Amino acid sequence: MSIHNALRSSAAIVLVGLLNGCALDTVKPWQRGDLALPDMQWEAGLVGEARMRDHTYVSKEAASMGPVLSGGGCGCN
Amino acid sequence: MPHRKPSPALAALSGALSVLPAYAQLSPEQQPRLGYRFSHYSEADLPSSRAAGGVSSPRYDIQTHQLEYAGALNPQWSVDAGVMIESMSGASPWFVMPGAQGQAPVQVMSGASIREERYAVSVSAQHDAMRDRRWSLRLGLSDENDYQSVSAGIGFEHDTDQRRRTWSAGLGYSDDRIRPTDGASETYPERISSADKRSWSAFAGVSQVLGAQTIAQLSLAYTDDQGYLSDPYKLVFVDNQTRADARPRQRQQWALSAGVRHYVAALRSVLKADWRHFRDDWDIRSDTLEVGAWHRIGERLRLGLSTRWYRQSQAEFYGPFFESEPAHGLVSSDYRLSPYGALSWRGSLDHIGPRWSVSLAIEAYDSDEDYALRNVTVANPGLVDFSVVSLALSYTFGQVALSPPAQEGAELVAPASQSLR
Repeated sequence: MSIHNALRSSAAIVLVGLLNGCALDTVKPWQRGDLALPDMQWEAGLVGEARMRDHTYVSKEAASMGPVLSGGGCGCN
Repeated sequence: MPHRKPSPALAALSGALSVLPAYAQLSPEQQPRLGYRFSHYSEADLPSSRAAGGVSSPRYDIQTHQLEYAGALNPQWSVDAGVMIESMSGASPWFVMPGAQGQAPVQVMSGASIREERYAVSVSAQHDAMRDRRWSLRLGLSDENDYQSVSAGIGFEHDTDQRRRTWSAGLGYSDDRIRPTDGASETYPERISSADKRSWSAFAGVSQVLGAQTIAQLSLAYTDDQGYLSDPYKLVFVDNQTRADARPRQRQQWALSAGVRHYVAALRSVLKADWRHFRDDWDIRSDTLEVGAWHRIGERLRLGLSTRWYRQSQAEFYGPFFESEPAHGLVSSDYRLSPYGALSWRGSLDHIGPRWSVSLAIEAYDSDEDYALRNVTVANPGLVDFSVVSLALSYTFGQVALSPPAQEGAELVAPASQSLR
C-alpha cells in the first residue's frame, strides 16, 4: 500500500468513526475520567507550545491553517 | 505526598488571589496560570555544495520569549493573554542561480546580516454561560520594523449528545501592512516601498468521543488572502537577470484536518495522531502527518515523543530560475514554494507539579526533496534544516489539586472539545 493510500485510509477511518460516533457504546459521564486527563487535550503541551510550533511551520512551509486562526509576522526569510 | 513550598512572595500573591470571591468559586483546573517559554531556533548553515561561490553560509537564528496568562475570572468568563518577543539575526536566501556548466542550481544569500525584533500580543476571552455553549473572542497585534499586523477572531462551540460531541466554528480577519527595509531605494530599486494584505479565515469542526479512552476530531478551514502576497526581499533569476519576486494578489486555501487521541492505561500513555491535507489555488498540495505519545513516569514526570512528516508540491509559478519571462509575469524561486518534504523529530520532558511545572523540549527538522515521495527534477538549493530547543516554566495561583490528576474512574463530564481553539 502506498503512503498516499495509507493516508487516505487513515482519514477514512477517522471520518467513519466520527460519523458513526452515535452508534458506538454510550460513554457515561462517570466513564470519562481518562478522557479528562490533561494529556488527552488536543494541545497538551505547556505554555503555548503548539502555538510556537505552528508559528515556526507556517513561516517555513507553503501550507498553513488548521483550526487555530492566527495572524502576524512577515516570515520573510 | 510532599511538595515544595512556594516562595513567600508567590505564596502571598496566590493566597491573596484565592480569597477573592471569584477565585474561591473556581475548580483547581480553572485557577489562573502564568507561564514563560524561551525558545532558541537555529538554522543549519547552507552547505558549500549548494552555495553560490562554493562557500558555506550561516543562516537564521531566532530567540523567542513567550509570556502567557490563562485563568477564569468567574465560572462563566475566562481569559488568555500572551506576549511574544522574537529577536532574529542572520542571512536568508535571496535568489537562485543556474549552476556552472549545467550543474545543479546554487543559492545566493542576502549579503548583510539581518537583525530585527518582533513583538506580538494576543488576548482572548471565552464565555461559558449555558454550560453546553461557549463563545470566544480573540484580538492580536504583531509589530516588527517592516511588518505590522492586526487580527481578530470569533469562535463558537456547542456540545451535543450529552457532551459526547462538540461542534465548533470560527471566523478570523487579519489586516497586514508591509514596509520593507530599503524599499524603493537606489540600492534596491525593484523593492516595493509599502503594501497591504488582508486575510479572511473560517473553520468548522466536530470532536467526537469514540469510547472511554478515545476521542477524535475533524475540521475544515478556509482562508482567502488578498493584496501583496510576494516576498519583497527575494529576487528571481530570469533570462540571466534578476527581478522582483512576483506572486498572484489573491490566494484561496483549504485545509482538512483530522486527529485522534487514545489513552492506554497499561502503558500510562496517550497515543496521538494528527493529519492534514492542504490545497490552494496556486496549485500547491500538501500532506502532514504527526504521530506521537505522552508517557507518564512516576507521579509528576511526563515524556513526550513525536515525529512529523510533511510534503508539498510546487506552486504553479515556481521555478528555481527561468530561461525566459513567463507570459503571465508571475515568478518565484522561494524554496517554500518548491516541491519538497520534511521529517522532524521532537522530544520533551516535563515535570508537572501542583503549582510549578517545567518543560524542556528539543526538535530537529530536516527538509529534503527525497521526502516529497515524488520525483523532484531540480531541488531548490535553499531548503532549510533547523533545530529548536525550548525551556518553559508555569505557575498556578489560587487553590490547586495537590495530588496528580485522576487516572481512572473519576466522575467527570468533560466535553469532547478543548480541541478546536
